Amino acid sequence: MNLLLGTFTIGFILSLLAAGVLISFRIFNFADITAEGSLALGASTAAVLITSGAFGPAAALLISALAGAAAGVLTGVLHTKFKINALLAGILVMTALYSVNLHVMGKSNIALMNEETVFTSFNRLLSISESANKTVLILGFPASVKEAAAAALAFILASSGGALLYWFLGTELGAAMRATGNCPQMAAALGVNTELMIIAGLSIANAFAALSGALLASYQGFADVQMGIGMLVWGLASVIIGETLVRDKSVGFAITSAIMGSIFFRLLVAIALRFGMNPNDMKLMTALFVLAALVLPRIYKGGGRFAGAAVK
Amino acid sequence: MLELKCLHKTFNPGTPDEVKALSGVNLTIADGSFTVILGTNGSGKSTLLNAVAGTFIVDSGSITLNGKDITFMPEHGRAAYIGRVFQNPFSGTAPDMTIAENLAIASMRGKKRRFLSALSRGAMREFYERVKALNMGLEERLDNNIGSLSGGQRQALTLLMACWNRPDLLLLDEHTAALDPKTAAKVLELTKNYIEKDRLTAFMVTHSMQQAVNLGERIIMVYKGKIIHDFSGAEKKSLKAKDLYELFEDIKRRELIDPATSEILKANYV
Amino acid sequence: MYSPAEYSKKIIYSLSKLAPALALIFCASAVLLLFSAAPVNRSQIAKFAIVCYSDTPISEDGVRGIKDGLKKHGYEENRNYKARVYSAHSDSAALNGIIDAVISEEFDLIFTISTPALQAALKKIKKTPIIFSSTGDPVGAGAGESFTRHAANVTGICSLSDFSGMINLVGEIAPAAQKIGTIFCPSEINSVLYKQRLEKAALEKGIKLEAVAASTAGEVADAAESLCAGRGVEIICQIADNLSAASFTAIIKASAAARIPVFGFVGSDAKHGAALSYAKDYYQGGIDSANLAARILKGESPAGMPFEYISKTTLIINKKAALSGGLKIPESVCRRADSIIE
Repeated sequence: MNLLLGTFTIGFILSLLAAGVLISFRIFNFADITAEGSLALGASTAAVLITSGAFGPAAALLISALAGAAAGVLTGVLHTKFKINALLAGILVMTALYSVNLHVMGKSNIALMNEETVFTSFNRLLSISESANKTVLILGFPASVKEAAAAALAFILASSGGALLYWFLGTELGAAMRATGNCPQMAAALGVNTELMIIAGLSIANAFAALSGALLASYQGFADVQMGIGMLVWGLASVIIGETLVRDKSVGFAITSAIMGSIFFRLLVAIALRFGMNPNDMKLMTALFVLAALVLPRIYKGGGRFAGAAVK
Repeated sequence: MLELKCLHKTFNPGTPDEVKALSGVNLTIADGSFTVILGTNGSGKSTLLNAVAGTFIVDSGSITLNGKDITFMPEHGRAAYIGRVFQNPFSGTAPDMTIAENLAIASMRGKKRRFLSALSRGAMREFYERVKALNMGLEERLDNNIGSLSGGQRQALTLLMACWNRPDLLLLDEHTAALDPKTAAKVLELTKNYIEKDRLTAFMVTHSMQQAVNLGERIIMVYKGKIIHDFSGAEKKSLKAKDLYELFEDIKRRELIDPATSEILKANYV
Repeated sequence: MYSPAEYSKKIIYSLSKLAPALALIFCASAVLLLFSAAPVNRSQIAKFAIVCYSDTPISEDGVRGIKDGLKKHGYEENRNYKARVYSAHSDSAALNGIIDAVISEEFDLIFTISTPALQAALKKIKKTPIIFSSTGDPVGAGAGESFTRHAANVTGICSLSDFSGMINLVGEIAPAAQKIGTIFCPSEINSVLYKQRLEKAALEKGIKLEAVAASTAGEVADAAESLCAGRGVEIICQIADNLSAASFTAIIKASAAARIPVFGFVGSDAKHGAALSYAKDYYQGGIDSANLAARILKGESPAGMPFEYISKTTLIINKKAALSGGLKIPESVCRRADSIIE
């Protein structure tokens, strides 16, 4: 049961990253690789703030998200004001963030072993002892109370993050942002400041990525400068697998499906690891999962789309 | 009132692709008037419209709308005063958003967008009523994505959206050219209705002589980035499609002759 | 806004859309749950997990060392123990997944290679013994308050350079040396730590350390020039940090021009023109962890086992480089060298 709970916890934490990727990938139609840098930035900032003791764990999360938002603003400004290709702007900021993260932490790795994080705060709130490793039965399987609490907290945070994003995208500003990505000409003609919307959207996306990183660091007990590497693929995989499973792309379903995609993907990885897959093949397996998610729905539709595409 | 003074615009200056799209356009359009711009392909008629809309900033000259200098105002800033319908029905609506969401964005043109639900109950009621007035049965499909509609339906909605908050100026860029004749007539009818009902100042680009004769109270002919004819009042009323057609033939002849004459001149004098 | 009928219609629609995803998640969870309840391959022979964070020669040397070390204690892979090697490919999320998988497999012992692997294991594994290696600063990583007071299920091998060993070498080869030098990088925490350790070790022998800072690769050449000019530095003992490792040739160039010999803390330094390298042997680090493992398997508690340093440091001498630096390496030192470049 602990394995399952751990998988769900990571799945929920990374679903915040997936929500961020959803914004850049599905609203603005490009995969913003800044997310890899801002995930590590969120982790570094949270780790430094938590170990400094000057901020509570919740405040640390919030400030980390703001740091990520700033990184997103940078990418957005490079892209819109300096007309740098969006992918390139993302790569530039991600590269720069690596050094920034080293400076933020002052070293490449910070341990959060016995520090107060949101997870320990949540345990205290539920009067769960840190030292005693109590177990409970969930569905007849023994589970560590702490792991269960962590999974519950991750679920709460992921669903509140998702709900917040859902609410925002339904507001007047959120609708304008979606229109900016969907039909820039229309948005501009109706008075939407498209450049500002892209900057704001990327900042929200990276705030989510940073929040995800801060939570990951809190949960796993350390922040490392290399944490973000390869994370964009996880996020994209979650979004794409989610879309394949839930065939409705309206905002609410898109957000829900990204969260579910994240969970399902983590489960697949956990099963693969559990059944002794050679760890060297893990990245290959990731690519194959995503490929399957992209290709299967087309085959499932009876090849109609393939034929249609060929005629075009 | 829209005032254009000595507008110049050159695309790709200093390259082999250099195009002088506008070379000294002066024009004043009175409030509540309906002006039609005619011109051949590449004459600069759409460029003129885009210059007013702010798709680009002109090289020199000034644009004043209702006494306000908007020459350097960005496109989205001008949108507060200007409603636009494009030639391509796909350009004026966001396909992956619902009809209601598209209308919600249009209903906020020129207003400050807030952190408030775009589809409030009151807004939905208004969307329903005004879409119903189009008489296309779309009011029952407000939750459908606009991408699922036909070009004509999308263009009618774009028109509705452009006129949602009464614009000081309505720019129509060959907005019926991509539609089949029946749909085009329907959209044109709607256009006329809106302009008359709200007494809009409209500025329409077309290459159909018949449309130019039937619509509006002023015709402007553009050629090589310049205004070469300007008909209004009684003169405009007496114009027939045939007359316009002849003017065009004249232009075409000149276009054909010009290179040839220059060749002759070169041969004789250079 | 909606009537109850419309609401229920919406809910039914949502459920129908989400059903396939929910079903798949449920099935995957069930598979994982059922198989994590009963460990696969429950057998009598011991099971060890080796968790690496990244794929580097250091990790590979460590894994080899662990397996060879276990063999010396009579543990033959697939005969009386099974080992699973996990690598997270520098991916934090995967690392957590690996730790969860390790927990559910109920291994008897867990080896971690590199700092993040140790940290991820520390957070979740509180009972199963953890033996770390390739960790420069286990106390900083959160494994305990000191080398003797630490988490009850953790012990391991620290890969910090042997600074006093290096100073002893300086004393043997150049007994008259009063001043050594190094370049360090203020923005690398390990670099600063190493500089301080080297300084302390040197002072104990009455030798002064002259350290010059460089923050970027471009500054290393200038810093090296500055170190070699007029500071009275007799030997450069270059600490092992990322910056100097990347721009080592710049240091060699400046020191060769000034005829000052270089002693390096990285194994490849001697090959690249240092008079000698005195570097931690990560293969030996693996063997050392296997020795700790053998003690734990015999019933000793990790709680009472202090952290240790890698027991072997490899000495490589480059005679030509030493000579051009004006140094004659004594026969006694040469005899201890693991290899000599003529």
